[in-house]
Amino acid sequence: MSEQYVSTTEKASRGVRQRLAETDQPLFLYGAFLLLIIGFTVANPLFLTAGNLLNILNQTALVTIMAAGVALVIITGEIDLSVGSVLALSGVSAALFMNNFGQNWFLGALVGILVGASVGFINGILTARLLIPSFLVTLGMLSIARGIALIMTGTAPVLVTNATFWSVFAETPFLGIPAPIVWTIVVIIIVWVLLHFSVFGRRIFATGGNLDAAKFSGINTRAVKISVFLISGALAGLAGVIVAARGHAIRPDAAAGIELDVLAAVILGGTSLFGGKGKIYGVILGSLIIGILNNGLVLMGIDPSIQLTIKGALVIIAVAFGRR
Amino acid sequence: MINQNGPVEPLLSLRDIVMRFGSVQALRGADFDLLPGEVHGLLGQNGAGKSTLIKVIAGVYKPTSGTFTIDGVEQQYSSPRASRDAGISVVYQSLSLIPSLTVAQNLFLGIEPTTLGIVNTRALNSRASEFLELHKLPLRPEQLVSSLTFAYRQLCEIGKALVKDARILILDEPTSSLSKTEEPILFDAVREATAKGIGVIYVSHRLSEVFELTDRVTVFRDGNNAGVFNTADVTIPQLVEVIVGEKLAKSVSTGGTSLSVRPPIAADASVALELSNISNDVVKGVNLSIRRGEIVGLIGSIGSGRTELLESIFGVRKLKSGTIRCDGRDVVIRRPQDAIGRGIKLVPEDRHSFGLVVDHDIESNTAMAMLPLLRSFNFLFKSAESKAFATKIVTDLKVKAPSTSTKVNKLSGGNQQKIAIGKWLGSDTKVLLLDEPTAGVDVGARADIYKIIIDLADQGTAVLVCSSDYDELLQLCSRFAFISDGAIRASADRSQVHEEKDLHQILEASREELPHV
Repeated sequence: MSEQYVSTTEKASRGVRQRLAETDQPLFLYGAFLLLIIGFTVANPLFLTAGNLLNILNQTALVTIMAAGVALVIITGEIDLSVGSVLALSGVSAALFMNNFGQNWFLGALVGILVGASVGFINGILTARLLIPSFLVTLGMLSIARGIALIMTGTAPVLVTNATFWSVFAETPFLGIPAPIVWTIVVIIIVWVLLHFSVFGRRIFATGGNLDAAKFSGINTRAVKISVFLISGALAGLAGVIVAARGHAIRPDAAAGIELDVLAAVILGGTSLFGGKGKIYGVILGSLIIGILNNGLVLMGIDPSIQLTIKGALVIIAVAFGRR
Repeated sequence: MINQNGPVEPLLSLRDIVMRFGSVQALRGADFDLLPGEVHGLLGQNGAGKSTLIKVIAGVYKPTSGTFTIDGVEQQYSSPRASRDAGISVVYQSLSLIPSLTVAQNLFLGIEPTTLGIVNTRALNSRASEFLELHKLPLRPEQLVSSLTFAYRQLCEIGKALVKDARILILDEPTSSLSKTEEPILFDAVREATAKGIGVIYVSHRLSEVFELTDRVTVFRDGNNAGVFNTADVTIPQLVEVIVGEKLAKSVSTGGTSLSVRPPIAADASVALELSNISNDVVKGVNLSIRRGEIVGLIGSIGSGRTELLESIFGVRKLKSGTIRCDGRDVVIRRPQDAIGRGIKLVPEDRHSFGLVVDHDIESNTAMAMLPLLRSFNFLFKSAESKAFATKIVTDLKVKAPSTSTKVNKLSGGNQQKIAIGKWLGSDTKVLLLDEPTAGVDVGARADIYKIIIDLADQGTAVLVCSSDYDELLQLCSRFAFISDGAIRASADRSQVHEEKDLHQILEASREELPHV
């Protein structure tokens, strides 16, 4: 057998097909993306207009922001089902804080994000320290956070009257881009650097790729897991702040069931549920597919209950394909 | 033994088997014969075609061309199930037993004797006990498989094959997890099976046991058989030459006749690692010191606490008492991070579970253990430096891989092990702990790994190596420590030991707590 050391020529000559085969992104993702756009455009010419596309991005912002955090959790081999409830709890906390402690938009947003981060931290501690499966921890937290949000508000919506708060998180465009999309871009850039260019990102991949090997290599896998849960919670908190700003009010039952969209986006984006694999552009693409699907189905006038059914089926199909 | 005089009809016969995967030809017209009642060794380096051949026989792959007969009847099957129906049973390294069930329940899984549809446990156990007696398998029917040691689990696995009337038994690296003292248990079971006319194909990297057990051997090289020999007519060096196919052979494991005995380390060399009376739930009061540049062999059977001792030094297991000194200073090691920070590194026995992230690429794996050193601005990952390090490891350790972005699970066992060792070489290594460094590693790569270990020692690293391959220890070590029940019971210098047999004797003697050699 001839010795084959690293050679640049060999690297360059690897075919496109082989690269596609090696990529973690299922090919069907790109196909599904195109098919959806073509299908919806044929069904309703309004679909492919600049106005509607911007609308889709704006609608998808929440899902994308939370999907970025949940993707980190899933890459470490855990899962976070609590993000929808954390969104509501954080949004409600921000609004109540501003209403009761002097209408400071910045402190309000900070409280919202910190509440989200704290819930994430608790998820992380329960999972990484007490070794309770994250599936159960965050399923319980889904209920707990929602319950607390309902208790805090007496089940009534909380008004948000701070105009700066509306403006920063929802209404004032930056360079012509709506604020929620700007926040999404900021989050994506941060998570992208974190995941693909930082040492922490390497730890996330190693922890999810093989927990024991990561431990045996001197990686503090508990700290890694707690951190990703904390980030996921904080991002759900930011999403809650945006929801509160956008609606000038937040209901304690806001975003119920959104965790399905978030999980669908992450999994459609090629993130392995078994951990150790995932790319941030996959998360963006996955969220866009979910956004387009939501928007297109509405434009086609399809009943919301059928929409729900389709999305659920999509998650299962995505997992089935992604597992190859 | 086979009857050499009369013509014996082969049980299994493969002729001109070609197996193509896309453009890769894994088998290029291979022939193989198995006679009834023989143990037939199958040797070759990783990638030589052994496992492909096994998978063709087991029905996992359908050969591209060639003929395949059992008892002279041509077979066309292409599913593992059809292969089992034809009487072929493969005992894989990863066992198929259910640990929470008893031996009897495992043996008769799916074919339990029932009364009115309910499993009749008494009948099950008595039938199992008859069966175990018939095949002379030293197991009890009511034992839980989870309570058995690895060797006995393998016996149970073989028993399971025999229950299903297997006539051809394929053992793939059966001793890779067994200690020397456990091997005879397995070998007896194999001999017992052949006495009943069953043909056994025995795949192994360990030449000494192939010599002990087999009647004939077939050597594979580059997808073809490089020769079939009567075991009695060849010597280990001859076989190694056929396996490797080059003159590489002389630098490789050659049975008892090892090349150069490593000289003892000068008494004034400084002590790199000193264990004083360390204890926890498994390790009991171990005292051991290793000098810079010294390679010490740790000898003990499975369950002796040898792996646990290494893990305790590395911080995977907590110590209850005792002190560890590294380079003359007391160190507190609570976690692997602490050990790595002091330059103490462990290459675990099971590289797939503990050493590597096999579905990540080479570069990710080599970076994993030295992330603190690859950090800029306390945050960003130094990608270029990581790539340079990975390339250096691939080049220096002669890893056969197309590039550093090749996934580790695409590499052979030997090359994976080189990565598992190489990942530690990015920072100063004062103490290297090696647990079975050549398990599942082919002959060629084995020589490379020995050289890596010896080079490290020559640069001043203290090495503690634990291995069931005593020949390997004889080649590497200048001193031996014998462990059983978590304590070091004896020690010996290389000069006091001449062959593998001596090591066995010392280990046995030390168990009976006889005075030290």
